[in-house]
Formats: sequence, structure tokens, C-alpha cells
Amino acid sequence: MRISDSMIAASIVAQIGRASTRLFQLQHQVASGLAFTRPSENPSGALRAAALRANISELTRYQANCDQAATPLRLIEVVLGDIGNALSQAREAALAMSPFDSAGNQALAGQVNQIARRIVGDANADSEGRYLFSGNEVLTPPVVENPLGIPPYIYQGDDGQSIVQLSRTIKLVTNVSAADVLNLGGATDPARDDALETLRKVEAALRAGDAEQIQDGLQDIQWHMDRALALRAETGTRMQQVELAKGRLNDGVPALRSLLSGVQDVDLAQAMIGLRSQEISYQAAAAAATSLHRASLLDYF
Amino acid sequence: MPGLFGVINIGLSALFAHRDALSVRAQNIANADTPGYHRQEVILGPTPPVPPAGTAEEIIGGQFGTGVNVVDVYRAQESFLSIQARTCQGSLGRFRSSAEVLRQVESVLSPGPGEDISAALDKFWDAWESVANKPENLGLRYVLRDAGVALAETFRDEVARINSIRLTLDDGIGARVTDVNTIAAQVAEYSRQISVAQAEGRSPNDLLDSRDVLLDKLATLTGSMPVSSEGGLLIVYLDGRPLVQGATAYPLSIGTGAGGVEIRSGYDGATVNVQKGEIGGLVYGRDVAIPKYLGEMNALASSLVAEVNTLHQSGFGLDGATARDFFSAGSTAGDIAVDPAVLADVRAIAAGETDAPGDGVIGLQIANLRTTPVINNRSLDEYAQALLGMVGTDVQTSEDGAKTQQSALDQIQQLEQSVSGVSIDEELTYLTLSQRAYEAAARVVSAADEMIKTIIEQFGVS
Repeated sequence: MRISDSMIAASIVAQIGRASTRLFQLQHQVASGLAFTRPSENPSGALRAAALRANISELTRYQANCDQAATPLRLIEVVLGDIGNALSQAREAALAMSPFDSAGNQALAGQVNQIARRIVGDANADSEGRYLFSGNEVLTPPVVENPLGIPPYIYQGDDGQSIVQLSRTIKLVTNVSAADVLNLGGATDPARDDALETLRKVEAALRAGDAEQIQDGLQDIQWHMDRALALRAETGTRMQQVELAKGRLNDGVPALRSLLSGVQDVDLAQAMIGLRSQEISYQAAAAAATSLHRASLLDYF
Repeated sequence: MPGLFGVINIGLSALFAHRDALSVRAQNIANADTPGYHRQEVILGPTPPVPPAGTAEEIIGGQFGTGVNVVDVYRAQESFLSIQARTCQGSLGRFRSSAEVLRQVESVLSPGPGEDISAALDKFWDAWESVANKPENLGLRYVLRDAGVALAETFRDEVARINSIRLTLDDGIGARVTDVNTIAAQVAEYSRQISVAQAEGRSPNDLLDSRDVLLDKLATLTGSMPVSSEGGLLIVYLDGRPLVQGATAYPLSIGTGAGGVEIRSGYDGATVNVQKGEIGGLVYGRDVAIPKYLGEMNALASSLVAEVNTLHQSGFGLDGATARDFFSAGSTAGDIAVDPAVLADVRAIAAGETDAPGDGVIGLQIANLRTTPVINNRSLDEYAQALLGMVGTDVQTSEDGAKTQQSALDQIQQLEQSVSGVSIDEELTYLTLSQRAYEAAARVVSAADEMIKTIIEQFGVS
């Protein structure tokens, strides 16, 4: 092949151009820490990175949901425990009735009345201004005095559920309504008095010294205690579910992050070695260029 | 039989011929770096002998030479290489300019992680889920409204920027059409001069070089190929219509069509469809690539608006009202906006199935659109991601195409340069040869002169 001077020049320019392009790419990678900054440099990688980022953002959302679900559940558990304790104290008061001690019975009746108020206070508990036991009517106190007198208290919430998502498939109810807890309006068992009506009847029986009424009241109190305990157990189970989900997410998010890093971040050691060897090949191309231009017949004529 | 004066004439012809050869070598060396220059070579030939062939004198005494002259100045060119190079230039121009357009679109669609539509969608779903968890909280509703506004703005901004790229393409096409017209006029003028020179029997090598450079530019701009016709003239066709025919150029004109500027032929006024070259790439970007991306974005935005609104319509706001939209109904990527009612009062955001303040059922359903397949069996998020993958692949295809064409062109140009390029070493060698031949011819003249002098001095009357 006949070699002309412009061929030599063009090939030198092309070689140095190629070497400096690769050098620039590697320098850019090392400086930015990213294997690619435009989707066109690695379309499938860019697609995968975008999917992973969306996935991470979804799981991070679920993590936040877990934290949000844990707060009301913990409060509900505490409140249900207190309602159980209050009922158990009312039961003891009822058992302590003596047919011979009218003054003592009056004191016991006062105690039961206090317990009923405590339970109402418990049921009206709130978290950050949100009533825990009024269904979706979170801005309305669930239990208020009945203007008609009997039953003494009525429920003014609804049966709405607060649902929090812990994963694509797990949706968790994070509230319990006061109607459910206290059987207000016969929400759980229409045939049975609600807890506050039961306490009112027990209080009346204590004031009257009516042992038969007390016996009926004791049965109802026991039923309500069991109900509170059952709901508390259920709440405990939900909290466990939240903890489990959170544990899974705490493992999953870092795993996804490391996958994302594998896709989008540059392997620094490899890039540095590549950079070094590109520098050498750039210098080699430049050296070859100068030696090619050095030889000329002009020096001999 | 030539006399002594004949010898002087032979020497003289050699002096002239080698001086001409030297001047061609000088021209080669001078143009070693001129783009489009083809190496020239002097073809020397003997002048006709005396006596003329076939005469009686020749039969008796044989023929004597009369000297040397320049038969031709040859232009070193392989025309099939030029054709291949121009084919490559047409494709290269198209890939390069379409890659440029696509890269601009890519930079709009993918400004960087966390700034694209995917990221805005993520924030939007996140805000819906926050509201669903605490629907009565006005602060979270403000966050959701702002996320909706940001998402809509991202769509509108990207569409506006892609549209402005499209407008700059019209300018780019117009500027290149002007270039094409200038070049076509020059090609026609060179063709005229070349045909005149060839008719006079001269070799218009430098005019041919200049015209070839222009034809290369024309190929890069439009991908059009010249067809040779007789007498050094040629015809350049563009989409089946002549752009240059012989010594006449038919300049293109620019008109406005439905899709932006249209190129019209100066030959018959018809619309010219340029598919190759830089203009072809720009037209492809404007008429195929950009409409495709705008279409995808509209599909995504319309689907987002429809899905969110359908659920939103079924829900209740904190103010107890229902059957309202979240996004302005029927909007697409270019005009998507949050509904004025929601903008005015965040209580209008319908998160609940009922008007209970803690009801977040609808909010949760909308948040779950994040993963629900609603458009071509894909979720909105996946669709937005696929858009990035699509533009990435398109840019890569164009860039790879440009790379392939560039290396093919490099190869062909190497071969062309191998034939047509100037080698200084070679020129120097032949230069020395011409120089020596010139010196020798001068010696011949002086030897003949000596001989004439001898005759004059020895036989003269004293």
C-alpha cells in the first residue's frame, strides 16, 4: 500500500482522538463515581437502576408506614390494658359488697363510678390530636355522655378502619373502635349491656345492696374483661406483624441499595487501573506520532 | 535526419518538459495538506519522430527522435472509492445529526437521578400514602398538593423543552438548506468551467478537486450522489429531482407544512423528502423521534390523569363534597395541571370513601397505582422508566451507527489517500530526478552549441 503523508496525519489524529476519548470517559467515571450518567451509555443498566430506585422508594415508604403503624398500636395496647385493669378493679369492688355494711357499699359504688369515668377517659385517648377509638371520625371524641340518660354513654364515632400498608400484599388495620371495645350500642353482642351500662347497673346495685343484681353485673364485667383481653392480644399480634415487616424491610432496603450501587456506581479500583493503562496508551500514541513525523527524506537531500 | 539545431531543439524540449514536471511536483508539495487535493503526475511522451512513419526517407535511414513533451497531467483518483466515501458520508451525517437531536431529548428526559418524571411520580405516590395514613392532617395534604403540582410541572416543562428542541430543528434544517443551495450553485459553476476546459482538451484537475470537495459536503448534508453525464458535467438528484443538472442549479426553497418547515424542489416545486445526510437526520428527529417521545409522554400523562381522577371522583374531601377531579380533566403531558378546586383548598382532596376525616381508603387506592398495571400491562412507574430506556437505546443506536459509518469512512479515506494523497518523500525523489534531467538537458544544449561553434570556427572564412 502506498502511504501518503495525509494518511499518516489522519491515522495519528484518529489514534490520539480514540485514546483521549477513552481517557476522558474513564476520568469522568472516576470523578463522578458513576459508571454512566446518561441512559444511552448503558440503556439496560439505566432501566435497571430506575426500577431499583423506584423499588427502594416503595420499600422506604413501607418502612415509614411501619413506624406510623407502631405508634397507635402501642398506645391502643396500653389503653386496652388499662381498661382491663379498671374492669378488674370494678369486679373486686362488686365482690366486696357486704349486705351488712351499707356505708361501705356506698364507698364501693363511688369507686365503681370513678372506674367508669376512667374507662371513658381511656376510650377518648388520642395520639397527636387523633382519637384512637372513634373509627374514621378521628376528630370526634368517641364516647360522650348520653343526653337521654340511659345507657349513660353513647358512641359517636364510626366503624371505619385505619389501614396502613406494610407491603404490596399486607394491609394492617391500626385502630379499634370504642364501640367494639366496650360493646357500645351492642356493636359486638346486641344482647349484652355495654361496659359502661354494666358499671352503672353495678353501681346502682351496690347502692341498693342488691346481691342478685351484683351477680348479673359480675358476669357482664367478666365478659367485658375477656373482650378487652382478646382485643389486647389481637393488637399485640398486629404489633408483631409490624415488627416482622419492619425486620424484613430493614434487610431488603440495604440489599436493594447494594444492587443499585452495583449497577450505577463505578468500580473505583478497576476504573483507576483502566485510567492508568489508558494514560499509558495515550502516551504511546503520542510517542508513535512524533517518531513517525521525525523520519523524512528532507533530512537527507 | 536532424541537424545540430535539431539536437538543440531536443534539449530545449527536455528543458521545458522537466521544468513542467518540476512545477507539478512543486504543486503537489504545496498542496500536500489541502483538503480534497488529488496528487498529480506529469505524463511525458516523445514528440513525433522525423521523418514521419511510413515515408520513403524512413525506409532508407530510419527515424530520429525530436524530443519530449508533456502528454497529460494525470490526476490520481479512484472514482469507485469516492462513491463509497459519499455513501458513508450521507449515512454518517444522518446518524450524527439524529444522535445530536436524541441526545438533547435524552438530557431533557433524564436530567439525572432524582430529577426526572419517575422521581416526581415516586414523590407523588408517597405523598398520597402519607395522606391516606392521616387523612385529617392538612399539612400532609399541602405536601400532596405540592407533589402533584411538581409532577404536573415536570411533565409540562419536559414537553415544552422537547417542543423547543423541535423548533430549533426547523432553524437547523433551514440553515442547511441554504448551505445546500450555495454549494449546488458552486457545483454548477465549476461544472461549466470544467466542461469548457475539457472541450479545449485541457485537464482541469484543480477544478475537479474543488468540485469533489463540494460534492462531499453535499453528500454529508443530504446524502445525494452525483451521476456523471458527458463532457465533465453531472447531475445531482435529491429525492428523484435534480438539484444540479449540468451547469444549472435548482435551489431548494423552504415552505411551511403541517409538521414544520418543508423543503421544496427548485425544479418542479414538489416537496422533497430528504432521508439521508444531516438534513435527513434532523427531519427524522423532528418528524419521527420527537413525536414518538411526545406521544409516549402524552400516553403516560393521560393515563395518570384518568386513573387518579377516576378514583378521586369516587372519594370524599374533608369538606364532605365528592365527584371532583384531582388533575384537570382530560389533560395531557403538555397541559397537565392540578385541579383549581384542589389548588384553592386542600380539603378538596378526596382521600376517603366517606366524608369521615380519618377515612383514607381512596388515598391508599391511589397510592397503590404506584404498582398497579394500568397502561400496556405496566404500571405508570414502569412506563416512565421504559421511556428512559427507550431514549437511551435510541441514542445508543444512532451513536453506534455514526461510529460504524465513521470507521468505514476512515477506511475508505485511507484507501483514497493511498491513491490520491501526496507523499513528500516520493515527491522529493521525483523532484531530484527532474532536477538531474533538467541539468542533463542543459548539458545537451551546450554540447550542441560547442559543436556548432566548432563548425563555424573551423570552416569559417578567415
